[in-house]
Amino acid sequence: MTLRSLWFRLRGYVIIRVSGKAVEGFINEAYMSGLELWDLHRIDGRSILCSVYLKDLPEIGRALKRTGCAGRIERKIGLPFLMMKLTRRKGLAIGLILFSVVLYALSSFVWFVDVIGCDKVSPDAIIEFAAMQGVKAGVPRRKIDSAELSKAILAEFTGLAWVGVHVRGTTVSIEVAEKTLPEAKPGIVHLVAAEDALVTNMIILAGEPCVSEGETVSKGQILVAGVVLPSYGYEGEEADTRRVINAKGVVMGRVWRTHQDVLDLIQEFEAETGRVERSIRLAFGPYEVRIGPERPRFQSYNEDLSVWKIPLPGRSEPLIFGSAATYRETEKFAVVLDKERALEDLKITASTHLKAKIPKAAKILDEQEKLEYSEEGKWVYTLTIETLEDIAQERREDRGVD
Amino acid sequence: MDSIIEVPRIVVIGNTELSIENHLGIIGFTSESVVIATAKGHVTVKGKGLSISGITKTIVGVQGRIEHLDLPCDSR
Repeated sequence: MTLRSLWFRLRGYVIIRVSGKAVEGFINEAYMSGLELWDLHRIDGRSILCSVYLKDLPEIGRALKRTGCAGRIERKIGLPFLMMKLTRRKGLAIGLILFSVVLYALSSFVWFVDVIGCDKVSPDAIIEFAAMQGVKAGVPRRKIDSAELSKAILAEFTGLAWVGVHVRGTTVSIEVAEKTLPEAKPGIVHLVAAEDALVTNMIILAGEPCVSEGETVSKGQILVAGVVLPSYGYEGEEADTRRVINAKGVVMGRVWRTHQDVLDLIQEFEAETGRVERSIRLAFGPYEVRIGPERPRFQSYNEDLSVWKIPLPGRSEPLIFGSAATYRETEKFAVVLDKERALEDLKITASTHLKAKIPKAAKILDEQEKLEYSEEGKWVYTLTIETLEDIAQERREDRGVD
Repeated sequence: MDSIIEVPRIVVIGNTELSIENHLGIIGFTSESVVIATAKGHVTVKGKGLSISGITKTIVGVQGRIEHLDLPCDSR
């Protein structure tokens, strides 16, 4: 719709049919009296269609009369006619107005309250609290103070870190961010010995000491005990982890770790002599053909066996079964190792094995090694490393707190 | 307005639109021809499906497929 035709519609116009011997005369008469005509179409030899403004209709009538033409209104277009129609149908007009008024009125109230971002805190609790603060369905939107409500919710729910209240249309959305609190663990913490040790020094930060300096302790023994405070007997107060003092501290102790290994200078091993026997077996049903001996004539040997089958469909035993075995003779040999070199190797293994067990923070005080002859060709090597280290280890116990 | 009084100003756009300022009225109007009076004589527009798009005291417009245009050759 162009701007021109919108203007025509706004003012209201009619399409009239003008019939007569000289319609050109009518056109001239009309425009001469200051009227505007548009969209003139010839229909037949006697008549044309043309559009004129609604307000010009009386003047058109006079022009028709003067020129002896006949006019008839074909169509009425534009807002004035629509208005006329509406005034005739009052119910519709009233309904339209009422509808817009009601729509506007209803949209100024809160219809929904939403909570976003809840994980641990119950959204229903927040909605309930908001309703108590006056934010619920049916409340006028302008009565809602977002800042006030978010502050109140934040004060009420301790588990929330941030609250944002937005009014979007008829929905109030309460956006929350929860705090992430460290989990309170139940039970009580004691310090126990990580190794068998001799306690040399104790620094206790919290808890009750159970051993004293100079004492030997065994692995797992309690060094510093956690303390349960006596209940103050508040009525209805539940036992919680806050009335427990967990043991904390440093307990230095000397730890001896030993590693023992047997040094065997005589090493036996098996080796192949190079003599070989082969045997091949072929079985076809109950018939069997063998080439070579069933058993080799060697006392000890290694055996390589390869088997192949042609399966018979629907039967468990194969149609053709073949196997080829190779037996290689072996013999035992013994070697006497060089003692110095073997001991060197043993020392390195013992040392790495032991040092892997020592914590990084430990201080090595002493290393002792011992070599004892046990039986023919065998020696027992013992390595002992003495360290000074923190032997305290935390152990949590689920003992009742009461 | 740059046209001198009484002298018509005729504007043709392509072969579909024509307008005449300072006209003196419609002499004949059918869908094949429109004859418009001016101070210099009759302007005849011939074509197919012609219609008058609008007419006021100052201007008249013709629309349709314009095939032929006769201008007055009155050398007064």
